[in-house]
Amino acid sequence: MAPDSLAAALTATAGAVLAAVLLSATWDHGAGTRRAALRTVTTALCLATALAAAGIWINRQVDTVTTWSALLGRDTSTAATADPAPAGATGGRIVTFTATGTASGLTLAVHAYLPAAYDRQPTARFPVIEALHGYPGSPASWLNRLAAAHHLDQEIVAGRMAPTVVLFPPQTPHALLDTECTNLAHGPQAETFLTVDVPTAAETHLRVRTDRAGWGLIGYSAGGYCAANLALRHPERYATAASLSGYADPGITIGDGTEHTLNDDAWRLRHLPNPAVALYLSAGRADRKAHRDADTLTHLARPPLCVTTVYVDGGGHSMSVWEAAEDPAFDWLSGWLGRPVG
Amino acid sequence: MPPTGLPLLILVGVTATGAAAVTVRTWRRHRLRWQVLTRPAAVLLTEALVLLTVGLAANRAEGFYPTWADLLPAHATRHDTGPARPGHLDHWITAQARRAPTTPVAFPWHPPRGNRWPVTAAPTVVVPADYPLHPTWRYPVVTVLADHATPAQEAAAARTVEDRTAATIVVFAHLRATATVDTLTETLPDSLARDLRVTTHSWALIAPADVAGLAGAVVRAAPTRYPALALLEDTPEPAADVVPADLPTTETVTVVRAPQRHPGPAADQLPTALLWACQQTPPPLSAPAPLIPPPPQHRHTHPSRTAPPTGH
Repeated sequence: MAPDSLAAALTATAGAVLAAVLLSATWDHGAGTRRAALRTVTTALCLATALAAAGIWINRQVDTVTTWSALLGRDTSTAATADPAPAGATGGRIVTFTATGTASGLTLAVHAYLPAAYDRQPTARFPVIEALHGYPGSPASWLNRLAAAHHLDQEIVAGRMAPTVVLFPPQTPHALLDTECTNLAHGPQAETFLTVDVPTAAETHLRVRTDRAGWGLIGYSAGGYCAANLALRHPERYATAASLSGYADPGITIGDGTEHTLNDDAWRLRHLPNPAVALYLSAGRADRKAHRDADTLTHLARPPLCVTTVYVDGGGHSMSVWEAAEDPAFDWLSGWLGRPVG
Repeated sequence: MPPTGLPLLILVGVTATGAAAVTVRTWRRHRLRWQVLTRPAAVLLTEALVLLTVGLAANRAEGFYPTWADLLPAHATRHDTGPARPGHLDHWITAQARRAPTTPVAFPWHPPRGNRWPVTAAPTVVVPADYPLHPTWRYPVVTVLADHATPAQEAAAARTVEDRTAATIVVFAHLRATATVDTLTETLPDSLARDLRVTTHSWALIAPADVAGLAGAVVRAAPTRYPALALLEDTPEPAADVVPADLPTTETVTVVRAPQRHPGPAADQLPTALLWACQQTPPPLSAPAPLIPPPPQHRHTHPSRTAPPTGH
């Protein structure tokens, strides 16, 4: 029973109800110190089960903690090997490989969507998109809540997207540690993992293009910031990136002050030469900060940087906005990436 | 009352406080048999209202769900992509393709005011055979700067590419060495976009090494239009200064040299360069899916498909 399963949510809810019943039933039992202790314990149990139930229901929405070991702060490599949603019978499939962090020191499992053409064309090398999740979240959010495999199958069959390998790497070794895909001064080197170790592992385990023309990024919320920031910081690695409701800054303390400079996209566009990459910035109109930041980046962008903005009418900072935006974003990215070769 | 509104937050917060107060006041009021129901119900209701208050406060601060509709899943309405805006030459190309459906359509291109271009001859455009079959697709372009190739060599090279990779439009520009950068970054792309369904970016450029200077200036001026550059060398010996200096770091460059045993003119390396250049471009694709719900569609009158192409 995984912590993001319906069974866990229902069990936790039942536990909260039972705790309330226990509190009511035992309130008048005993006397003196014993009664006080019993009341204290049952009241604490009541609060704990209510919070646990709420937390598990929220976790089901964001797929942050997918195994109990991840909840205890252990390495998410185990979490990432949880069974992902299978792709359709006639569509692509999901595989998992391990990215050994020779550069970053992080060794984590990475899910990958392989299009149906991957098996039909056994010598071809495919373009790649790294899909980055939000915080709180995990790669399972893309596969479960956003049904990425289904959407990718649909867009490829419709001829709006080329057959593409899509990677779903974790951005942190600990589910509750927010790295914003940066190299934390005294923490995980997430940026190095995502831009060096994951591409190296993908090129080792999968038939993917190795050149810049074949690599792009996409992400929602914190992952959206990650996608845009990594593309601006590594234009020699990525040709394009799509940010769905991403902010222009990481919103965390990195430890070396770069959250105000090199890892602040608006600062980069103001103070550094703009690279020749293509950015797709999408946000709900009611998502004030994401909308404002997308506007800011658009106004700061100078050639050769290309920026395309797409705003979803209404829409906040939620999965429904990102599910609405993922199809156009994947299609747009594919139009900027090199084709499958070989 | 929107889910991010202060009135709702206050209402739920006050209700939670009231529920807690009522729970305390009525804790012993009912008979024992009813307490089994009323006490747990009161505790659970209070807990739920407190959690809801916290949730609404978080939603108000972060703007996750600004409206009640945002709590619902996105409407799963799908829309097929309509035809791309047709190029002025689409109808004529369709007619040509009927005669030889599996052969690329190659023709001398005479765009409006093309006689003012700095060319030695009208550019040759090679359109893939499947172009008429996919009216929703937009095609990437490979521009060959000044290839010194004969028309027969151009056609043969284009056929080789068509056989070995997916469709791409090839333009043999036949530019003079004195041509300016604007011709390749603005004039030619703008004219081609009027006449054919082409993408606006991610093209590739092929140039003989003797005009590498012009090619370098072009990719410096338009690195997203031409992110890939192939230079043709007619000698097998590496020449250190073939690749122009100060190209953008994002530029992908290759030098296609004559084979060691069969050195020859640069045009002989054209099929190899074309194949490489095509692989750097995206495949032809339909326009991206519309957003859900899609933005309002404004009807445009399409240009006439029956007008004959200029020069034909």
